[in-house]
This record gives sequence, structure tokens and C-alpha cells, in this order.
Amino acid sequence: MEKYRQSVSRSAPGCVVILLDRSDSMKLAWGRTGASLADGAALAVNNILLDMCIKATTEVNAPVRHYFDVGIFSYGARVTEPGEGVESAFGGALAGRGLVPLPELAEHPMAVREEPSIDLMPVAARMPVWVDPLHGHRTPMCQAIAVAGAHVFDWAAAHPDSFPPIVVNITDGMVTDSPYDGATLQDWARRLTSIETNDGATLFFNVFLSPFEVTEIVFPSDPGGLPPPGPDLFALSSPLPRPMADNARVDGYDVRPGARGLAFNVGRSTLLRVLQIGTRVPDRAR
Amino acid sequence: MTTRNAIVLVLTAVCATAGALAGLQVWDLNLWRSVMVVLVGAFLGVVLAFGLLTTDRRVVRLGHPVAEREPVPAPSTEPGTKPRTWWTETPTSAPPPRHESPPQGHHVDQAVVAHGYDVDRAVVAQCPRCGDFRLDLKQDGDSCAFHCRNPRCGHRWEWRAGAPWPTTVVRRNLTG
Amino acid sequence: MNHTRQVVFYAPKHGNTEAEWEDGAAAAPAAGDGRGPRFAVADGATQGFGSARWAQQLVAGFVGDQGAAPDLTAAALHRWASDMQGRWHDDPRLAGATDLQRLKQATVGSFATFLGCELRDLAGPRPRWTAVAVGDAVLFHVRGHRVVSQFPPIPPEGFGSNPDGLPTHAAGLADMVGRASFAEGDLADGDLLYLATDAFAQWVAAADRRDPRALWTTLAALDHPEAFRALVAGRRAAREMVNDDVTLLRVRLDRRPAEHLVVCL
Repeated sequence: MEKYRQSVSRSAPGCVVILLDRSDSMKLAWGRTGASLADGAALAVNNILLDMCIKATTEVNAPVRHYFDVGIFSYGARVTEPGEGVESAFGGALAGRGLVPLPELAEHPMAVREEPSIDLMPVAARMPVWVDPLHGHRTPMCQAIAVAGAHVFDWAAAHPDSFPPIVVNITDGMVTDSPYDGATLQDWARRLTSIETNDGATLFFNVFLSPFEVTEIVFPSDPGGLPPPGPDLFALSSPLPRPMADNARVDGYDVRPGARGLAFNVGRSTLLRVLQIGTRVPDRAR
Repeated sequence: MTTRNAIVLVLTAVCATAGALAGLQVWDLNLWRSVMVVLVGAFLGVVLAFGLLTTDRRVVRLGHPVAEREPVPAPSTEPGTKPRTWWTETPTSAPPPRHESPPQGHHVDQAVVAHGYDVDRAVVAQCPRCGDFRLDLKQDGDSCAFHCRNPRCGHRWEWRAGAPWPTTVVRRNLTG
Repeated sequence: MNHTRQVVFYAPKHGNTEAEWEDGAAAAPAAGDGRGPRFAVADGATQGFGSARWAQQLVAGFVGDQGAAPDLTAAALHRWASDMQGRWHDDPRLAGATDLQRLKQATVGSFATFLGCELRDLAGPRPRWTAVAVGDAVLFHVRGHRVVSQFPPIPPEGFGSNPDGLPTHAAGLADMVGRASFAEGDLADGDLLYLATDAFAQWVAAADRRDPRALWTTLAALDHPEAFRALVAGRRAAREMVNDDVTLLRVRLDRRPAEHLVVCL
């Protein structure tokens, strides 16, 4: 039976988890944006959360629909205590929370601030913000998967009929904690993608940020030609399921058979577009 | 239960009681037996009325209100401080898949119950204002007065047999 | 053949509430000005804003519930759709909108697939249906358990996720009206017309290939919303029908008046 067909609804919401690199190298300037990688990544995450809230806003006098449960876990520097680690990246009323239902997310941004717009969004003078930029320490990516994985596991057990969980890892560097707890990054990624619903296995997508303006590589179907750590990330990334591949083509990307959910050396607006494609679950179950 | 049916049942109970009381004038029974006769008479009358009402086919189909589905609450998860070996666990809280097995060899559910009348010759009444099917009906010969029981609608209209059904727009998002 | 009888069955996507059904369906009897009975269904975009209101606006307007019903020509439909857009934009309920809702109304809006049908010359020598379609809502014309014609003629595998539809914004309206298709067909006593939005229509098209007699017998016999919903629930569970809002408007042509009235108590 074809997988990845389920659409989102109140009784079968989807799950989106973002793993956000907060290592020290995220302080580097991002191309010519004038801001750091950390700033740019936080901006993109806030934009995709707003995007999801907008998509779930269907009518006046109606609440934001519970289309997704959302989690953001950061790895590297922490807000809550000194030192390196993994924590929920939500701030404000949602601080410390794991997976948060979308209507609750929409109600509780950490702040509403003037933010620069990223190309695709309409110029909103003030935007809700859920995540702040931060950088420091190294890159405990394995631990991030371990922590997030527990939430994803419980979620999948409670939502067997839902579209499978989507985990998007945004990073600028190499993992520094592999092996973690006796398992390599590859082992952790396998553990994560072994979590399933009836509609398929968890999707693990990776977005690699570069401070330099280099050629973007989006949804490659072949690791050949990717500079390090491209081939490693390629091996970790799930193939794009058909509905997402179709959406990516509609958006103008050249998506070939075997394309993986990997975006390499992307700029800020591409990051947002990739997040939009990676979190867009079918409208109708086909 | 419609207003009409409720009135019929009450009247039936009253009449049965009256009949039992009248009968007591013929037979002289002690107090407890007299009370029993009246109660049994009333009960039998009501049972008879139920039977008559449910075999009435001109106005048919007891509707069941469509249940609104309760949202499945998302598990309240907090970041754990102790690492869990979740990758070794078998998911246990999954409810069994909600699939009904399709009938063998049939691609269309044979959910059609024998009607006892020709559906091709029937008008199926629904509210013109909202499309709901939960209706009260008062009939007077060929003339029908309807009331929509959708709590957000409450529309009333009249219709005469042979006339076309009024303009109907299905509205499910009424706010009252 | 002076009598038409119709009923509309509908169900929201599994997992949604009744109020979240975003299709539209409407029916109107013949008008005094010579216009024949009209029927319409529409399917509002899931990711749109105000989709239920938009689908409802279109079907109600087409059958004449909101002023004059449009003629079935491209030019008349364009004017009419433009008028419908204005009404949708100026809906008084929007006064209470939140910032998110205003943003979405302004930037995204909605669109809806649409199918409208009028019956003409029912008492005359050439009774017929005439219809307009934008997108993948479908009309099935059935006689004696067989499909006489399907409009638009979309095969089961042809129902996709990016259908054409009438938008709420002016930009793109002319293009969509230009992509509307028109058709007509001759009617006979006892014929049935089924108008369905895409989830149900796709299933019907597939079921018609497998066992048309069983399919059309079942659909003709539906006389209670619970029977319709049981059918839909069963087909969804069997993964034969996509989990989406469903709508089925059934029209029967008969030269005799109805003998029974069915009321769900």
C-alpha cells in the first residue's frame, strides 16, 4: 500500500520537529545578509511556524486548526543553564515544552516583534516569534536526536493513523558527539527513522547552512559532487516522499527519482522554501 | 422524540388509566389490586402506543444525531532529563487500527435496508436553510409544516405535496 | 416530465467536525422567469481562508438564492463570479477577524471547484440538462443503472491535487472562467443526475468500472444521511475513498409527483 498518503486533520494531526544547531560556529555571518547563521536560522524557523499557523487559519470566528504538533529542540548552547546540551528551544509561555499543538503555539508566541521579511512572506510589520537565536559550544547532534526521538516515539504511538513524523535538522557543521551513548550518528538516525505510523516511517531531513555564498544543492538524488559533510548528510536523509517531491517540482526544483530531503549550502530564502516543502503534508489523502 | 409523539404517549397513558379506573367500577377489587390494575393498564397503553408509532411508515426513520468527533488530545510531553531507551521499546499505547474489513466480494456496502416503499417515488425532506435532516413535522392532509431541529438553525417552513421543494442551500457553519 | 426531486448528502472529512465541512451544495426549483431547476456543488480549498463561505457563496448564487442566477455563458459567469467575489470580501462577519485571519484573507484567500447545472424544457419536446464545470466536481447522468454521460469526463486516476477552481481574488478569475467547460445532455423520464465533489466522484468513477449495477442501485436507494455516512465510512476504511469532505446531490426526473415523504425524525 502506498505510504505517505494521509492528510492532516484534528484526529490525525501531523508532527513536525525541528532540530536547531546552536553551536558556536552559528555566530558566523551568513553570506551578505548582514546577520549571523543563528539569526537567519531562528528567523526561518519563526517564519515556518507562522506559515504553519497561517495554513491552519481557515475562517474568521474559528480557532487555528490542530493540523500539527510541533517541537523545536536546540543543540549546542542552552538558554536554561550554562554549558552544552539539548533543550526545547521554545521561549515565553511555551518554555521547556516538548511537542505543542499548533493552536496553542499560535496563541503563545514568545513575543511579537519587528522582523525583517524573508522574500516569500508578505512584509508583515510585526511578526510573532517563538525562538530566539543563540550560539555557543559544539554540536551534540546525536544527543538532539536522542532527546527528540523520545517525543517522536510517544507521538507516533499515540497517532498510528497520522502522516509520519517529520524531523528537520538545521545545522552548519559536523557532529561532535558521535558516538553518543554507544551509538553513532548513523545509528541514531536509523533509530529515529525506525519510528513509524501506519502511513510510513519518520522522515529525517537535513539542511546544511554555509556562511559562504556557494552553490546551493537542493534535494539531490546522488551524493557524488557534494563537498563534506554532504555525502554523510545525504546518507542520513530520508528520500522525499512523492507528495513532497511533487510540491518541490511545482516550486521549480529539479527533483529526480531517489531525491533525498537534503538541502546543502542554502541561503535564507531557500531555507524557508525547503522548510515549507518539507512540512507540507498532502491536502487530501491520495 | 417529537412533540407530537410525546403528546400521543401522554394521552395514551391517561386514557389507559381512565379505562382502568372505569373498569374498577365493574369489578370491586381491594386497594392494592385496584392500583395494580390502573398501573398495568397505563403501562400496556403506552407500550401499545410505542408499537403503533414505530410501525408508522409514512413518516419514517428515527434519525440519530451525528456525533461530533472529539479531538484526540496530543500527549503532553516534556523534555525528559533522563535518557530513555525508546528505540528498544515496542509502542504499547497504540489503539487497534480503526479499519473495518470490507465485505468480501462486494465493492459497495450493502447498507441499504429493505425500505418497504419505493425510494424512487419519495421526497427526502431536508432543511432549505441549512440542509439538516433532523426535522419536526406537522401534517394536515397534503400540507406540511416543518421545523428544523438543528440548534443553530431552527428554520420553519411549509410545503404542500406535489410542490417543488424550496430552494435549499447546505450551510454547516452557521453560528446561530 | 415535470417533477424533479433532489436530496443532498454530505459528510465532513473524517477527523473534522460538521462545521468544518468546506464543500457547497444548493438546489432551486424552476423560477417564474422561465429558468429551469438549478443545482450546484462546489469544493472549497482546504488550505484556503473562508473556503466554506466561498463554496457556499458560489452555489447559492448560481441557483438564484442571492439575486439573479447567471446565464450559462462564459461572459455571464465572469460577471457573476466577480460579483460573488465582492460579496465574499465584504462579508460582515470579517469585522471580528484576528490579524492572522486578515493576513490570510488578503494574501491567500480561497478558491473552489464548481459544477452548476440547469434543467431545461422539462415540459417540452427536448428536456435536457446543461452544465458548467471548473475543476473536478463531476456530474453523472444515469439511466437504468448505467452512466449515460459523465461531465467532466475525468477517469478515476485523473483526480489530482491541483484542480482548477474559481478564486476569491480578481487576479486569475478571467483565466479560470476561460478554463470552464460546458456540456449538455438529453433527459428521459426516470433519469437520475448525481453531482459530486471530487472525493466522492473519484470513488463513483472507480466503482462504476467494477460493478455499475450495485453502485447505482445503492446510490438511488439512499434515503437517510446515516446510510450515506455509513457508505462513506466503509469506503474510507477500505481506502477506496479519499479522506476529504464529501458531497452528493441526487436529482430524479419523474413525470409523476412523489408518493412518499421521508422525514428523518
